[in-house]
Amino acid sequence: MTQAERVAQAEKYDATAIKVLGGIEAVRKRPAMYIGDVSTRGLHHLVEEVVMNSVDEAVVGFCGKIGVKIGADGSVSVTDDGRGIPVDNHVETGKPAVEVVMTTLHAGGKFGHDTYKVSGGLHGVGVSVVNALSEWLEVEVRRDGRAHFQRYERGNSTTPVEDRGTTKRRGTKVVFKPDPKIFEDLDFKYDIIAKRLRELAFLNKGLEITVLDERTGRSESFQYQGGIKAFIAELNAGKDVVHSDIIHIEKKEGDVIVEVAFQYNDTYTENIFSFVNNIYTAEGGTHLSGFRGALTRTFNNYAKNQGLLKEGKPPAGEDYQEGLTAIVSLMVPDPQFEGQTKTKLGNRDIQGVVEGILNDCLGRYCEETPNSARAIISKAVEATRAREAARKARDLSRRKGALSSANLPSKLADCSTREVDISELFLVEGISAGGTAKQGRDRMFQAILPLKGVILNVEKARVDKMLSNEEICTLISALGTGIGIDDFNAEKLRYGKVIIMTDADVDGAHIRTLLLTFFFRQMKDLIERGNVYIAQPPLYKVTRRKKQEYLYDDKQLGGALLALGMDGTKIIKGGREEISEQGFKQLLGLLVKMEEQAYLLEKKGFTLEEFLKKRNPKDASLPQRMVRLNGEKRYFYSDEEYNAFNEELQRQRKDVEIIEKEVVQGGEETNVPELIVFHESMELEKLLASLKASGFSLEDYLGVPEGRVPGFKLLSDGTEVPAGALSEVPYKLRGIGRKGLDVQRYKGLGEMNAGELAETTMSPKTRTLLRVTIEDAYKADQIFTVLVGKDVQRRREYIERHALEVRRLDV
Amino acid sequence: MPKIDCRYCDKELVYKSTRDLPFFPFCSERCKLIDLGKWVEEEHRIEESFTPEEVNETDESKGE
Repeated sequence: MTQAERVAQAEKYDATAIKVLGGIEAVRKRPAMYIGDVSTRGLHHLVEEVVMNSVDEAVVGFCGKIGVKIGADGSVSVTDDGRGIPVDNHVETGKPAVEVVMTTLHAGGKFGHDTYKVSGGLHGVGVSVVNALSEWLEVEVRRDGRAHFQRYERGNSTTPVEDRGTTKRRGTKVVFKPDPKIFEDLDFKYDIIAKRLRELAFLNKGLEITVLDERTGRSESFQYQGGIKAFIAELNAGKDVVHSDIIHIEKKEGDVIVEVAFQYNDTYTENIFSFVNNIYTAEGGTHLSGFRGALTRTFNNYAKNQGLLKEGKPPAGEDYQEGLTAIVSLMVPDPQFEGQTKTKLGNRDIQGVVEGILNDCLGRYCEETPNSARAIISKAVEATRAREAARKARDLSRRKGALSSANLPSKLADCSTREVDISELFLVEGISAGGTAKQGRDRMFQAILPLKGVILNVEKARVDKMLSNEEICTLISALGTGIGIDDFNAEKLRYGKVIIMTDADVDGAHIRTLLLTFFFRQMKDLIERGNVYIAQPPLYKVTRRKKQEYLYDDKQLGGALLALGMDGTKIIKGGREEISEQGFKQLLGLLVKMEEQAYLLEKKGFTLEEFLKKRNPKDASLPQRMVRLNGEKRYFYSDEEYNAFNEELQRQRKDVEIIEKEVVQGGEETNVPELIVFHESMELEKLLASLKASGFSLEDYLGVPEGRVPGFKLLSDGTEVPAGALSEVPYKLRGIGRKGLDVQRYKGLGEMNAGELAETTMSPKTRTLLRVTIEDAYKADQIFTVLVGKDVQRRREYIERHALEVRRLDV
Repeated sequence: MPKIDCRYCDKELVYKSTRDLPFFPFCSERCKLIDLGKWVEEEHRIEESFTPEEVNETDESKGE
C-alpha cells in the first residue's frame, strides 16, 4: 500500500465504516457460545480478542508496536500505536463510533471489507464481547491530536465519550477486568499470553510486541525481522536438520496472501502450525491440505524426473510429514471457520490457491537447490520404506487367528501336558533332525518344532541365510505369546523352556544367531525371564569294546584319550628306571599343563624350546615381554627393565606408541614398536620348578640331540612306544588310548539316532543346557549386525577375528 | 550405566535396567516395528561369501 492509499484509507475509516449487526445481552447469558468456555481458555481468549484488533491495524500497516500489561488488580491493558478507533458519531445509531464498537455485537471495522481486507479475532464477534464479559472496561483513543476516553461496566457505558485534551500520540488503549460473575478462574497466566504474543510477533514480521506482568515484574519484548523463517529456526534449534536452508515462500494472489516456511529435521515427528489472519487453525483446513498436496506432488515430480525413485511406491503425503517443521500463514478476506472448535479453514477455493503458488515456487526451489531437494526426498523415501515395514509388522501382529495358539502349526509336535512350568519346546534345525527328535522325546512334556532356516543362493559365491516368514509365524504361534508392541505377552508362553537345538556347524551357528537376535529384539522378556536355552549336543562319540561315551568338546576328548592311554601303561626312564604309578600320574599332570602353555606360546609364534632359550642368563627367569622394533627383538624380564626401555624410546622419538600384538608377524621390518606380553612365563616357571622337584631336568623334557638313546619308553599291553622326551609323552599316550577306539565326530544332529539324541541332548537326566542371558543374546545380535552389515571391511575383520572358532565348529 | 545403540537407527540409549526403555533394544515404537517388519519381509539375512576354492568344493559336492 502506498502512503497516499494509506492516508485515503485512514480518512475513510470513520463512523460510516461501522455497521450494526446485533445486540449484546445474549453474550452474558451464554458466554460459552462466544468465547468457547468460561475457564482459563475463555479468559485468555479475551486478551487475544483485544490484541487481535491491534494486530489487524499492524497487518494493514498502521501499527508498529503493541504493549500488553497484566495488571496487579486482575486487569489487562492493551495499547497500540495504530490509527485509533473512530470517535465521530455513527450515522445509523447517532452514537460515537467507539461506543458502538464497544457495546454492539458484530460491530466494527472488520465487518466491511473496505477498512480491513482481512482481520482476526474470535469468529468475528468483536471486542464488544470482551466488554460484555468484563466487570469494567476503559478505552482511550488518541486520534487526530486529541485524546478520548470512555468507561463501561458489564458492557454498558457509564460515562459519555469524554474529550481529554490534546495529544501528540496516536493509538488505542483498552483496559479491562474480567467479570468474576462470569469466569471461574480469573488468574491470567503469563506464559499463555507471552507464548501467543511471541507467535504473533513471528507472524507479523517487524511488529514489536511487549508484555509486562505487573504482579511479578516479568517482561519480554518480541520482534522478529525474519518473520516465520525465524520461527522455523527457533523450532528446529538444537535439532539436526536435513538441509541447512529454511525454505520460505511468500506470494499474493488476488486478496489472498500465502506465506510458508519450512525445514526438515532428522526426527520422525511433524511440527506444523497453520494460521489464517493470525488465528491459529488447530484443526487445519483447506490451506493446510493445499500445502501438503503441493509438497508431496512437487517433490515426487522432481524425484521422478531425476530418477530418484528406483523401486517401490513413491512416498505418500505422510512420508513428507516425518521431521517436517512448517509454518503456513495466510491472509484471507472472508475466512470460513468450521470444525469442533471453529479452528478449521473451510474456504474451498483456498486449497487451489495455495497449491498453485507452492507448485510453482517449490518446483523452482528444487531446480535451484538440488542438494536440499535430494536430501528431503531421500528422507521421505526412507520414511516410505519404514512405513511399509511397520505396516507389515502390524499386519502380522493383528493376524490373531493365524498366530494364536488355538491354531497351532501342523509342523509342531506338541506335548501332552498343559503344565507350562515343566514343558519344553525344542526348536530343532532341519526336518530330519526334527524327525529324530520327535522319536526321541518324552511326549508328555517335550514338544518339537522343526525349523530349517532358508538358504538362498544369491550369487555363485554368496548365500543368504534367514528365517522365512512362514517360520517366524509358526514360531510365534507355537510360543503362544503373540507379537508386536501391544500384542506380545510373555505370560502367555506355552512352555517353561524354549530350547534351541542346532548342528555344531556354521549353518547351525547362523540359525542360532538369527533366533537369538529375533528373541532379543522382539521377545526380550522371554530371555529376561530365563525361558530361552541352548541345547548342548555332543561333538564326539567314542566306542571301545561296545561301550559308548559322548564327549562335548575337544578338551574332553583329549582328556578321555589320555585316561585310556594311561590305563595299564608304564613309563621307563633311560631304558631301565621304572617310574611308580603314582609318580607317573603326577608327572602327567605337569606335562599336560606344560603342553597347554606350549600351545599358547605357539599361538604367539614361539616354540617352547625357542622360548626357553630366552631365559635370563643371570637368574634363569623367563621373559615377561618382548618388543620388536626394526626387525630386532628385545626381551624384558621385569617391569623396571621394560619401563626404562619405554622411557628411553619416548625420549628419542616423540609420540611413539608401542602397539600390543597377539602374535609376532614375520616379515617386514617396521619402525612401529610391537609388543608381545608373555602371561605364560609365571606359570611355566612354576611348572619347571615342579618338574625339577620331581627329579626331571629340562633336557628330560625337551629331549637331547639325535643319536643318543631315547630318554623314555612307554610300555602298554606288551608293546613298547619310545618317547624321546617328556614333552612327547601326552601325545604318545593319546595315541595309545586311541587304539581299539572308534571316535566318531558328529557333524550334525541328524547323525545321531533317536536314542542317542535323547540321551545326550534332550533328556533332563543326562543333558546339559545353557541358559541364555540378555548379554548372550546381545552378543548374538552384535554378531548378526556384523554379518548382515553392508560394511564389508567390518565384516571381514570380524570373520578373521572369529575364524578360529568358526573353524573349530567346521572341522 | 549400560549403553546400547538402537538396533534400527543406531541412536545411543543409556539405561539402568532394560525396563527403563519400553522398546528395548530400540529407541522407539517406530524402530521396533520396522525391525519386526524386516523379519516378516525376510530382509534380515546373514550373508555368507565363499572363496573361489569353496565355490568349487560346493560344485563338486553337488555333483556327487
